[in-house]
Amino acid sequence: MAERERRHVRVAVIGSGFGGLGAAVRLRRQGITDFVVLERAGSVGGTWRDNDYPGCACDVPSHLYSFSFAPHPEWPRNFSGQPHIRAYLERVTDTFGLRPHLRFHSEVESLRWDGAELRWEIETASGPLTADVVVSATGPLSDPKTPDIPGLETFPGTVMHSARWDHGHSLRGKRVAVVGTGASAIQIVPAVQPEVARLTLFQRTAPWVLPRADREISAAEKWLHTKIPATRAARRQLLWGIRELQVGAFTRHPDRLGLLERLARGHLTKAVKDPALRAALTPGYRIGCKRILLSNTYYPALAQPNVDLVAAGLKEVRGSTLVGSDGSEVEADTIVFGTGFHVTDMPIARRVTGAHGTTLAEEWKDGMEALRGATAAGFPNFLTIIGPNTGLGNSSMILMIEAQLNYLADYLRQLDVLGGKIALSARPSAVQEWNRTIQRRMARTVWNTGGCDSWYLDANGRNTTVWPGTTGEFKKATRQVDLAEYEVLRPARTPAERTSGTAAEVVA
Amino acid sequence: MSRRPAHVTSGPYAPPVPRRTLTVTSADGARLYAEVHGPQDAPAVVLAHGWTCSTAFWAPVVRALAEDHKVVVYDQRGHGRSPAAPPAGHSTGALADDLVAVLEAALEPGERAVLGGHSMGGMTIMAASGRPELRARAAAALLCSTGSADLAAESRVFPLRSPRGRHRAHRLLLRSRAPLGPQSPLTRRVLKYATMGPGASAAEVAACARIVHGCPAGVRARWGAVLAGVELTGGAGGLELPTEVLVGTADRLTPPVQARRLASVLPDFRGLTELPGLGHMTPVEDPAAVAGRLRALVRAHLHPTGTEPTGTEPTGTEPTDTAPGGGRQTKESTA
Repeated sequence: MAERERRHVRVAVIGSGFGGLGAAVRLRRQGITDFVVLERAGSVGGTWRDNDYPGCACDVPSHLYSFSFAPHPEWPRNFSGQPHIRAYLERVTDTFGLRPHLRFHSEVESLRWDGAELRWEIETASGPLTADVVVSATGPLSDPKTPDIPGLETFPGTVMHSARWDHGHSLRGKRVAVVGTGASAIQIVPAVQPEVARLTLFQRTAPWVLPRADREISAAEKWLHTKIPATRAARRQLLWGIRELQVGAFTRHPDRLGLLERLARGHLTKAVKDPALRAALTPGYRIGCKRILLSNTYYPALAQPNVDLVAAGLKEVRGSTLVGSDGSEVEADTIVFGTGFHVTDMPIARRVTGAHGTTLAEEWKDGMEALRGATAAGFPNFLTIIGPNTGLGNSSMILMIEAQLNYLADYLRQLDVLGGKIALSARPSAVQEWNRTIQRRMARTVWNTGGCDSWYLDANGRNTTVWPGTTGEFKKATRQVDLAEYEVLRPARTPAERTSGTAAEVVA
Repeated sequence: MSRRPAHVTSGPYAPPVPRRTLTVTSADGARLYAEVHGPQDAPAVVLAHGWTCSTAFWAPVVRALAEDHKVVVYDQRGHGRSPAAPPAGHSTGALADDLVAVLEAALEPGERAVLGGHSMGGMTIMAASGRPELRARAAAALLCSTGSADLAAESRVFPLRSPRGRHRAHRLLLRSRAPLGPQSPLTRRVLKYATMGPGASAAEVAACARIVHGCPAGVRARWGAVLAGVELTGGAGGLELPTEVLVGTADRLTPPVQARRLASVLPDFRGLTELPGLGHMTPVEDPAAVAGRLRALVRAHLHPTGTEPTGTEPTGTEPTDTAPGGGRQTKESTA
């Protein structure tokens, strides 16, 4: 890679999941071809490449969980599985001619802002490069988080995280412990339950689970969607519209979520007859506070005789004995952590050094803060896709990603319009104003008032992940870059040049 | 031309009689009417008016400055006494051509001036930012009630919530060829609503109405179409001279967000004046403030060689309006 030494590109995109590939498509559509997509692994797909645990599927209908510019009339199911979503992303990569831009095995090791040259210096596993603009599409669900369990190193069996599934390790006939009851765990449990000897589920907090209206999409529908694209668009619009209407209940009127709770309770009652188990599975907080999970198979699987529920977290490991925080002890051969990801402490943040010589992680030590979910003060020409407060509780992240891509496109357009060697740096006042508004709106939302601790909240209890509004509102807020919110950075000029406006004329 | 002059003929808004008038030929051959007011050897101020206006629009500012400044005003093509150009002659490039032509014709060789532009006149200055003539002639600039892009979407004449809806509605308004008809209390009210602050006096509204109604509908529509699609952020970003921005907080055509954007983009930005409660027609609504900023720019950036940097007052606080107490010292020793 020596010949790529000191290579310069207009835009460097980090990550090749939905965000990174979407950014690449948008850049090409904008007429920008001088860009690279840096990917640490050897193929595209991001979260949908890494998470290939048994039963992995999306809990947003596929017709909505796909790019608006890359419709796919042939989605096999309402809620398509991971292999289909990954294949979709591979196809997007080919269809839009993104392969030449991809740089695999190029994990970004560091990013440093060069204030004199107004560009980013990027160190990657495949060599250094420089870029005018960096688009960080590393995603919130990319780096698995495994809790620090004392004695875990003494465990003789296999330990894996849901996002790093070891397919060489068969679970058939094994005693398996699953830690966590989030979106991944509730898909893993029913998928592996039939083949394992014994499945123990460690549950700190019971999740709310709603029935999932999953079914195969019929050949007739696929035919119709292929022949008459308007029907596909209408289907997407309907899926979107329903979710937009729900947002108000999450953000402004959590009391209205009672109806959903009744639905979820009914779902539980139908599948679980044992009153003790039912009690353990009934959440003690408002629905929606943690992510609402959709599954028809989770509760029935838990009711099976080879499944035990430990209504406590995993406290300690002593050899092959797992000790729950309630003192219960279980023997296991394999531990599966469905414990989520580093969401509120984006790992890339530690590798980004901005204009003031501090890292993004240092700037964000009291909580992530960005302007319109994209740019951070002191980090010029650095945009995040799925940045702070752009997550959703109930709808498709692709909508948010596309809104952010609009913002990215306008950002680059403004750079072009201004011309020359310049950079835009978010004004701290604008960032504060944006976040003040968000946090004010956040105060009433179910995520903050629902009485739970979720991955939406950071270490200080601040919600820095979810967007407290509809996707339509976010799209409107990010349709354009308001230059009033940015400082325009120009290359430093010599003192004589700089003062020519004042001193030269006034004095001389 | 018309039976009735397209401006008021008495009071503070009546255009003063120029010291001399001249006809300037622009790059594409277009003829432009220009006026020079004030003493020949005083520091020069060149003013460019906005859409549907004319030299008469600057009357109160000219009155405030002409005693001790050489003030050059000109009619943008199609407006006032400058004949309309063929359709191809309507572009921001043409505006820039016209401005540099006026600078060359009305100023002495080597003479520099402070430029003032209102609305489309401000865009004229931005459009000309890359011209060597402008760099040679302009010492500083004041951009009044103007913006660099997205006027149709940012304007608030139609207070629609959706940006796309606003964009469509304002584009229709800007490109409309509908005749304004004879002046009436209704048309004056509409004009006041769209362009002036709630506190604008009847005389101010009447002065603007006379000027705006005097603009032919075809000219209005052609330039309106240019404004609807204007993108001069790059021009503003290349305006390498001390520049101040001024805006009325109740401006519906170029709201303060536009001014703040200019403040971000201008490479040598020197200050933003927000005039509370004023609308788009700042030079008519508060000529003292506009003249005051121009005066301050002249004092700070147009001092002839040899004189002390600044006058008695600090540059930040401009002395207000007309009848300056015995001619500013800027005057005496001009080049």
